[in-house]
Amino acid sequence: MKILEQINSHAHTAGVDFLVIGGHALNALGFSRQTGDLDLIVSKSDKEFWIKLVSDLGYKQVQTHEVFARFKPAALVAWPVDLMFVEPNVFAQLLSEAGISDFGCCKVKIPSIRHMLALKLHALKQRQKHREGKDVVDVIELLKLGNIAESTFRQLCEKYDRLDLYERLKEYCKSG
Amino acid sequence: MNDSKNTANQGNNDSEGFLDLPDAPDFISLPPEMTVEEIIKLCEEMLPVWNKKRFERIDLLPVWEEDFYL
Repeated sequence: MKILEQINSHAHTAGVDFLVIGGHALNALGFSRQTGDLDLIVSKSDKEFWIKLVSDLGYKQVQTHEVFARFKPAALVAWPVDLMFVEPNVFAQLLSEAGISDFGCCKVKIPSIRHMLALKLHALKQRQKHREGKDVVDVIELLKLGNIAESTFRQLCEKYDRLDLYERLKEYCKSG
Repeated sequence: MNDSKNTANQGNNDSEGFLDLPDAPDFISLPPEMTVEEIIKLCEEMLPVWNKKRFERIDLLPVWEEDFYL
């Protein structure tokens, strides 16, 4: 994936960290599913760097928000890029548990399964109907992949205000 | 950080360090403006990588439990 290779190279040169999240991170864990963009999570302290970098790579910013930025590629068939900005201390937490995954073009960091589960439940907290089905399937797969304890899943659901999902999905947790 | 071949670690300190992620109720996450054909073309590029990952965890592949017949 050319864009990931470019981003990784520039970020490495600048000494700036990032993690791949979303569909590409799920695929990196072995859960094959279609995805239509490249999602990255970065520190809010590096926001300027990221917006400049992705723009300099020929992308146009199409959605701007305090927490998110979405970029559209100039090429007809190229991966759109989404950025999620989190506080530096949250980003440090993500990095502390992150793993490295081979994306073919380069090796980059992805969050721990528990943190990916938290990101999914946080997205589900927003209760956007058009995303619910896809995100719930992702949660099920993460529970299976991560061998997550039922108590941990309950705490996560409680934190992200989706206890209803705990009741629906607890059967996919590690038993005992 | 963990240098794992395929999987990030599970973060075994189960109840500690839950992420304080920023709320964005006003942000509507819209799907990319692409045709299915374009998305398929993009995903095709990644299939060799994704399939390699898939087959690294053979225990997670779907198991056919029904009797086989033609």
